[in-house]
Amino acid sequence: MNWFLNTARKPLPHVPETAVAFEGNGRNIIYVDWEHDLVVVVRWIRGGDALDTFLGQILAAIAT
Amino acid sequence: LFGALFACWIAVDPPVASSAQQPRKSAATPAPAAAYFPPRGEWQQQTPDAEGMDRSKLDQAIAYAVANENPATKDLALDIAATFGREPFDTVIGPVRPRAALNGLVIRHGVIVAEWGETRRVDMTFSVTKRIGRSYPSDGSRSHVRPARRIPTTGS
Repeated sequence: MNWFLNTARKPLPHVPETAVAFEGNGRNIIYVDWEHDLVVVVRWIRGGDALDTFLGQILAAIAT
Repeated sequence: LFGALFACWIAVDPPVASSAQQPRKSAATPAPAAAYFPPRGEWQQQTPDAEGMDRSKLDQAIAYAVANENPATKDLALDIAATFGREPFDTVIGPVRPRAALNGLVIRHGVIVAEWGETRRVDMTFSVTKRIGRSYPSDGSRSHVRPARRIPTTGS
């Protein structure tokens, strides 16, 4: 499986370093974020920074 | 780039029974420590507000994702040919069919707070079967590796 760490927040700058994501071509994504008690699944999102932007917006929806 | 083209047919979300909606813990009750494991086909749903999320901001995020769908053709037979067609062993040997539009779901505190698109559609999921390698104990033994199945032989 293609599970990726978010070391130094380099792959996904808008989410915590402790989060991980499964990433497959397409792209199919399973994002797991323990700090926010959050799991996000998205299929067929484009490449580039679209995933990071999307997840950043999801986290922005969490009331602080 | 993505040399291994193995894919599995899976749906994001199992079918949900009509009786899936159950009241979750009230706000006045402290959250129990027990983890929530949804029964098969009965994953609870809740409003974003009940799980501490702003619905309008969540909708904006989902709209962004929908607007940023993979722009390639949904006909995966064409897409695979266009992507890998010049590599060796590029002949597709399994079933291929068009994919769904962008879809997904958001789970907060273990319950579904947002779901959009055809999450129950069975689509190809690329790379889901890729291996990550294997390590062995430093003493060289392979004690934690499942032994090979013994093949019975006659007379022994």
